[in-house]
Amino acid sequence: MNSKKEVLIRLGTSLSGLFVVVAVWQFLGMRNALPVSVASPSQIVDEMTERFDTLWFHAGPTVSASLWGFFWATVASFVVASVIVLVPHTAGSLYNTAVVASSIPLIALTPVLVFWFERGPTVRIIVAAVAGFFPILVGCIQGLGRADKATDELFTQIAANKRQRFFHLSLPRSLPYIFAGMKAAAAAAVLGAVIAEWAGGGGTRGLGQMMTNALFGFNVPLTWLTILTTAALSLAAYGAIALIERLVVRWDIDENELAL
Amino acid sequence: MSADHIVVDHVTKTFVTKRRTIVALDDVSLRFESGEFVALIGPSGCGKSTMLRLIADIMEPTEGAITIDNEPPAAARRDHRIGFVFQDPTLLAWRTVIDNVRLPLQIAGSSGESGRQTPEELIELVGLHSFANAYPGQLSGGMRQRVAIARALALRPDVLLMDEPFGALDEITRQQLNMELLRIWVETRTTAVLVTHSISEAVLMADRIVVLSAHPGRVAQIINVTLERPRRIDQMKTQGFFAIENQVRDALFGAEAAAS
Repeated sequence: MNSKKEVLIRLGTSLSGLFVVVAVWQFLGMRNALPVSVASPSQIVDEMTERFDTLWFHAGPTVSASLWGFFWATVASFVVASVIVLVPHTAGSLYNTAVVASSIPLIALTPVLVFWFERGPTVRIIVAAVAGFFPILVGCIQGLGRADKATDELFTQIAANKRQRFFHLSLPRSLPYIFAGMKAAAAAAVLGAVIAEWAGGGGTRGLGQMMTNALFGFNVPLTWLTILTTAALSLAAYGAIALIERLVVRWDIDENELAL
Repeated sequence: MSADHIVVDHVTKTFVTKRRTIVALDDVSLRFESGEFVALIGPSGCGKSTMLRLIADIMEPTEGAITIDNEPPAAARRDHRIGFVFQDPTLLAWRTVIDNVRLPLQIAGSSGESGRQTPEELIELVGLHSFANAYPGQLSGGMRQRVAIARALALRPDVLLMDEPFGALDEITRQQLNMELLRIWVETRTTAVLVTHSISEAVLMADRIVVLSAHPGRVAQIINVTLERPRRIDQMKTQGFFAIENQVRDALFGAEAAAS
């Protein structure tokens, strides 16, 4: 377990590291040493204060699409994982299908979906869900597929039935893996939503839309503002799941695999 | 009481692998009296752990039969009349000490019958009352094995089977736990079967020592331990103790010489 002091030290080092990067970046900007395609931090901040309403207007739909996409990714991957666990011999074919599905480029998927659903929230949510689906599925399969002889014998010995085995052994044992998948998926869902918007799947609103507008208007600071906002949202999504994980997984994860 | 509690009747257990068939136990017959403490000792490959798993109904004999209270071991296992301490503590990393001890009660779906010790009392019995809410990852090896013993006793079994429970511990911790286990055995009056590879441990703990020979596993000799009870550590320094140790040693090495 981390002591409070260690956490503060870690926070301190990463914050000061970030400060140094921003300071150097700003310094280069003021000396006009940055390429024309890179805005300096102060320009980005100016842009943000100036266009805060626009940013808010575009970020709302992206956040909502990411959340719904993440939600459906979780539901779908849990359903598929349950089928794999409950129905024998489905693992191979379902997993292969999932691998193929996850290797379709999202940017190519979007126009196809627009063809079926028209531009709008549905397309964004589906692309976000597709982006988040695979990481969670991998986490579930990795976690639930784990077996160790010692605890299996223990559960045989205490005459546990299949349901008890699942809820008292398989599920808690796989939680760290499922959470690892969900953290990756939360970040991926945000990027998925932005890609869908970027590829014209989202209609007139969304951070991806704002990004293309800025790009094609040659507004460098605004482009950077949308890039950083997307990255921040993605990180926040990751952090939110990590926080939930901390509340749920209270044991030492390193010890999870040992027969204690 | 001198009723036969566990009867092993002409039991053979073979394991079939791709290359060959291994005879782990060959026509072994044994009787365990109610409330007796028996140690099984023998070289590796003598089938002592296999014998314990057959009695616990974790495995089934290839030939022959085992009964516990004139019933097949499966009945005893399903009624939770068998407690098993594994070589590894096999604690669940996500459960606290007290919740690990509670596991068998939850699986059996019973919440404390009359005459049964509560999980709190069992933790007291193994001397871990101040660690009730600790996670296994925070405990030492000896403490983890104590939790495993408390868990094995949770449903007040009539039969306590132990598979080299202290094999991974240092000599000092081991002797401490030996004495504690004897105290617990006197208090709970179970029929105890201890698999061990330590001659002194077998002599210190048991009423009878079953010496097995390897390849195939057979009973080489059964030695009665006539030392007075309650047993004390200082008995280990007596001539009587050495004499029985030497008897076991002769049986072990005589058996090995005959086999080769």
